[in-house]
Amino acid sequence: MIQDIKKEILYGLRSYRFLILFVGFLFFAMLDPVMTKFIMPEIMKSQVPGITQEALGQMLGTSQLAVMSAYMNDIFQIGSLIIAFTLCRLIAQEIRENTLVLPICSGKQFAGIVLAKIIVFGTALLLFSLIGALINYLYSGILFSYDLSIISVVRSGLLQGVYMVFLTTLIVMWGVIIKKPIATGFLTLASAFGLYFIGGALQIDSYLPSGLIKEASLFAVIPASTLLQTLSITVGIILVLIAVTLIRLKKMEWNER
Amino acid sequence: MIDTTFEITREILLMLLPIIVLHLGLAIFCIVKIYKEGVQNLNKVTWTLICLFVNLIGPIIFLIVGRRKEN
Repeated sequence: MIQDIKKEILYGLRSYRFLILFVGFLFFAMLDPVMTKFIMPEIMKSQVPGITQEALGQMLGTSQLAVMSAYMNDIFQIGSLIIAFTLCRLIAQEIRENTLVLPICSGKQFAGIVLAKIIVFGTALLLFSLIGALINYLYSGILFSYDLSIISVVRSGLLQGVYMVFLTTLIVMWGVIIKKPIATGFLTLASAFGLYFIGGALQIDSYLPSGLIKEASLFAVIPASTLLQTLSITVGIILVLIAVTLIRLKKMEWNER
Repeated sequence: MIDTTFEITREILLMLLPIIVLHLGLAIFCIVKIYKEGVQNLNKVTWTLICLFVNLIGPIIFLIVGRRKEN
């Protein structure tokens, strides 16, 4: 298991997967506050001459909470896209190129291989979510004012991180089922966005992993009473996805022509 | 006629500086990769232009789909 984790860390570094993911988070964490403070008001002023500061404030939501909520939404929408297509080769490529046969023939367990991938990339995404939220907090605090408590920001960063672990598990599961990297990326996005919209439309967010993103973007001082339930369900879904992945791997024919 | 221009002040530039430094750093890193290791899907000039002019997403796209050696 330790060897598998080391192998995945080396793969992440060598293929620049960690760099891509980190830059993705950093980009939105730094750009969103600047856009809301300087660029968007200037664009609005040039588009709508004579617009008042109050009207601008109402339209753009010029507070730390509004900026950080926008950052959370950007990470969910565009960040998920970057994550899905960065990690879509994680296992699908190995199955497709028959390189997964080698560790299996040398006695490695499926569980070890799959868990190592989820642990390494899930932990990296959890860390990047937390760092991104803190950088966004600092940047938006400098540009607006420090309205939010650091504890709520850390909690929101961690909740987003748990959602990213769910996304990683989803990528691994679709990769094993579909075996095509790009299709894996699209299916992961379809599942993630589908759950988000179904949760919103039927108001069952607290029973779905997308509830974590909604809770994270609120930055509430006191978390919602349903948070523990959402977290438990997400962990349960992650375990089910891992089980489906392992069952699919065990039933796979490795020497098919 | 709608005026689409706006003034970039010193304050805006200072706040944008870390993003510009990050983008340039990543773009230079990718351009070195383009000419050292080769590319796939598009030619070298196109990838160079994408890395230089598509803010941060350009280098990310290159690293995901443009590098010749995908290990």
